[in-house]
Amino acid sequence: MNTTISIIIIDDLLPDDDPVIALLKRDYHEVKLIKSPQEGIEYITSHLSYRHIVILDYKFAQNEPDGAFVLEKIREKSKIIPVILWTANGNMITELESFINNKAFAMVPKAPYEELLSKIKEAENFINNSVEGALEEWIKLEGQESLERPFLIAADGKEYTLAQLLSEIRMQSNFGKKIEKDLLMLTIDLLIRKKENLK
Amino acid sequence: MPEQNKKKENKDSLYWRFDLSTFRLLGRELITDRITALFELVKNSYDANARNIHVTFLNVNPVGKDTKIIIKDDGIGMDITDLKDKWMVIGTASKRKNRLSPAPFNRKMVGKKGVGRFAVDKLGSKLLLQTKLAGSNELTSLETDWNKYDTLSKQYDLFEATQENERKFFTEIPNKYWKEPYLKTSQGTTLEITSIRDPWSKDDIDRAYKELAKLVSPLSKQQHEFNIFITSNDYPEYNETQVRNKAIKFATKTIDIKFDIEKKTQESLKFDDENLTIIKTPIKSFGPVKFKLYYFDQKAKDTFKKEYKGGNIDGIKIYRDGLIATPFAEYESQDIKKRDILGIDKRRYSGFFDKVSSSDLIGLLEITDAENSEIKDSTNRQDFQDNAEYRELKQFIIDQIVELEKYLKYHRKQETEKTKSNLKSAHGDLKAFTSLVRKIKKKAPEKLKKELGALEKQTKKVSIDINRGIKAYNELEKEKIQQENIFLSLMSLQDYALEIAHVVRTSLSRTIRLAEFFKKEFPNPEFNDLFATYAKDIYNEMTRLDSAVDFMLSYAQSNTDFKEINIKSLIEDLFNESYKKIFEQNKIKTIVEIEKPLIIVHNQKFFEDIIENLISNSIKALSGKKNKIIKCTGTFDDSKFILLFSDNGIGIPKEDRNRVFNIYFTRTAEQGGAGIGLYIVKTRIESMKGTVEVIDNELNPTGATFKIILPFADKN
Amino acid sequence: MITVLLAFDEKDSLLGQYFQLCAERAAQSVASSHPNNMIRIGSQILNSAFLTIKLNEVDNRFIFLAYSHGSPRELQGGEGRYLSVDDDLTKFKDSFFYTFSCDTAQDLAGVLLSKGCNSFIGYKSKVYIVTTYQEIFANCSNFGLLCFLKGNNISDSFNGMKQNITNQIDGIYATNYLVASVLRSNRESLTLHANDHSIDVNYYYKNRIESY
Repeated sequence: MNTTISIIIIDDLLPDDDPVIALLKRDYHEVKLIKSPQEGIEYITSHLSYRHIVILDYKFAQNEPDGAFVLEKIREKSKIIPVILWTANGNMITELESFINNKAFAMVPKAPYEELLSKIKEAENFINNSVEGALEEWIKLEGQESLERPFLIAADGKEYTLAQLLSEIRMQSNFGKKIEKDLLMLTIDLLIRKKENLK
Repeated sequence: MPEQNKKKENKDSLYWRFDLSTFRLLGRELITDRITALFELVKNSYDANARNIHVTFLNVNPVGKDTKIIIKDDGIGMDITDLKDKWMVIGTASKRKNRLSPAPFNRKMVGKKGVGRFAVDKLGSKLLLQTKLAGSNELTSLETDWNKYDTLSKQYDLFEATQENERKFFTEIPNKYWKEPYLKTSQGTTLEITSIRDPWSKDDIDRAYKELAKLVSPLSKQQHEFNIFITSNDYPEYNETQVRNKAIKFATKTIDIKFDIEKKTQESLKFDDENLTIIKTPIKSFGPVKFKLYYFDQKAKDTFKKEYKGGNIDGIKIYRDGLIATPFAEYESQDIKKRDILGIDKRRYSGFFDKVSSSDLIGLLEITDAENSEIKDSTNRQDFQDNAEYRELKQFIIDQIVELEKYLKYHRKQETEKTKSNLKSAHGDLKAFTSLVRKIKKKAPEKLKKELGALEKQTKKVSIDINRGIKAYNELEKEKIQQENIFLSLMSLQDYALEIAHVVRTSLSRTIRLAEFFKKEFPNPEFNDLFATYAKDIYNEMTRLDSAVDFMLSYAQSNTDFKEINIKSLIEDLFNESYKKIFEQNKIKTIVEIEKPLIIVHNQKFFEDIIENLISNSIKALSGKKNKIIKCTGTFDDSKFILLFSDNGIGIPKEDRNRVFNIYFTRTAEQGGAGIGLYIVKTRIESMKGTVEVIDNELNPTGATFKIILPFADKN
Repeated sequence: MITVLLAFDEKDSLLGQYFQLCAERAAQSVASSHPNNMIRIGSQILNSAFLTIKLNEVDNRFIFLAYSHGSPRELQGGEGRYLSVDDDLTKFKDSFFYTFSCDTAQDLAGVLLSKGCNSFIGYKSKVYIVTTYQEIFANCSNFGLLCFLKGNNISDSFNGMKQNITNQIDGIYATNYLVASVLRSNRESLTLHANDHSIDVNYYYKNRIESY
């Protein structure tokens, strides 16, 4: 049972006892079903420091926004949360561009669910290997209060709190990418100097 | 109550007796709906010369022990004699004798003969009547409990073996009464109705207001006024709210003549070859007058009569200082005897078709003592004093009518009249002719009598034929049934294909997941409960898909089977016949109030689908509830039909209001069954270019209300 | 006696405290190892004009220490740049330029050397410190200087400085990976430019016998 990752399903017609939910509940400590796309957007963007995998339906009720909109809104706050599109409609060619540009993690059919489960596993690996995840784990050790204090100062006058660092990483800004890269480079450095071994 | 006087029964005669259930016949079943019942009771107060009637609704949504409807008037009231001889006598003769209320009101009585008191039963089972006769010093109270009658009646149904002499009859049930001293100078009758049957939603009270507004006089000011006030503690907008009528409606032509006291001008009508205009003349010898004239053609007359129950189109009346002036206050029932004081109808015989008569007009001429002092009542009060000023006034009135007649004549040439009115006036003329012939025949010499006899026969025959023709039209018009067309737009082929594809795909993907689960996880004791549930779900899903496809196919066959449907009957039949047993089994009370008949030409099944699915949806929502109610009200205007369908079940959360019509949405506690019902409702309605939405629930404390609007197609 | 010009921006709002710390450490190291003529140039007087004056007061062949903000072409203090490629850098002939500042190893270093500056140790990109670990970063900042004062030549001092950072990384990565990664990033940015790698501190003793 993965105790750190939560699955968030945004789908207005999925029954609470769907086989997919039953199976996911076995493997992940939280499986949350949100019926309204607006509510889904709000929940995810206000819980960015949680480790979420989002399963997103495409079509909602008549005057509700569609999946493409939800993805766009999520991406405005984080570029790296995996969002898997789960759809019954095959003919979304027009939306494909939006999905690719907004980096949907994957697009899988509603049935069979095997492909969905497989993509969720991929997303889980992605999260586990993500620097942001590692960083957040570490931040939890430091304590939440440390999030807002100045942490890193550049000698050219820029200052970053931990929260800002996280945000830079999530938004994949240049600086965010640099932090990630630095962490990776250190790993390589340690490996090369044989301070650590690949396990 | 003293024992009903047992007549000395003659051994050789039989006597009529009334079964206990008579009260139901007289009340509930004679008066078809609650609004009408309320209307009858208010009419009673009107007939009792009430100036102010207060109708109060207390705790009417939902109904409970403290629900009350109170109708309180300040009319002349009753004493014990009145109660005994009038209220407690069915079909009281008193109203038949004089059709006017006592002086000084002299109101033309409007209440249906003796039925009003049974109208109470339509509203609630218990009545406390308290009345104080004007001028007396005691308050008389009467208690009637229709429940008693009901219970007893049902008992007799069960126990047929009840001994003859033990059976009580309708007229033998005691109703408690008592008197108490009451020294205030008030007067009037208060009806306090409890044990109310049905809840009154805001919509219901709005409808009652509309109906009652028709009773209130449209005249500007009456000294002997008549006001109705509605109060409801459930709806704050009704707080001693006065019922107001709009101006006289339905007139074919309305003319409003005024004066300007400063400029010393009097308006007057003038027909200028094409239009009726208003010119200004100097004020006349009789002083400045205000004159509102309403002309009604045949069609308008019929509409007016339907809408203003108790109203008549009966010519010009003169009001002095807001009070109707004698001799106009005197009522004469027979047309022939009616005094044509102003000489309007006298003109008729001198130029048949073009003249307007008193039965075509409502005219309200207002004078005041101050400004029109020369118009005086004559000593015998049969007329006004015949002075120069009065003669000029009469001429003025005739002049206005003459200008109107010119206008009508001109327009009659332009328009084509309806066959019926042609027929009728022809018939009227024929009648006049026939009677003329008869008159002449009486006075004619023998030789001529024969010829005239033949002529009389011939005209009679023609008259009969015309009459038949008229009758045929009358049949149609009597009901004044609205016939409309409602759209049917079929989905385009593309939409149809898309719709099916979406439905099928969604259903199938669900089923595949369920089956996949079995395939991959079975057997696994950890999931035994799930296996059981999923097996059911697969079945349900397939059934749903089946229904959905069936439903889709119905559109492929829908260009046949169009016929005339009476919506009122259709809905009432569904409730009172087809679903009667189901409602009984589920202990659901139904309230069906469709304003009037409406005929549409459409596919009956489509329409039934809507109602049936709403019913079935409500039944599900009501499961487990107490005091279940399903209510269906329908109203019309010129352009659309509005249906409100409500239940007091579990209700629909706000966030689901849109989703609920989705084909896969399941909301009510399902005992198996597809959630496709509301989807069908929506699709059917949309195919009629209508709309359906969930609005704030009508019934309290919880429930759902669907508002359906079906627009009528253009008559062309 | 060695002449040391110590420029530091202790009043900087972000890093003032750090710059001060580094400057103090540097001063101490110098004082405890060699007789010296130390000219402190703090935030108050950290400007182009004053620096020019001070540069005029000393002869060539001095050690220049700078702890302040920087950019590829200049060093910056509270009032703006106090040294840039556009200044008369001939003053720095024969000097040892040692700095903790961003980017200065890019252009400024090159121009300095072209004007005769002997060696430059600084950073070719942005350098960072972690506020809660200033000790370590200060230590790393000054390690090269320390080596040099101890008698190592430029080249060895530079390598020693790099090795020190690596040691610090190894000491901390287990408890604070992020800090370690920043150290490593700084290490990568650390750059040496020198005309003569073999010079050592003795080169900077002037008039050994003479007293002032």
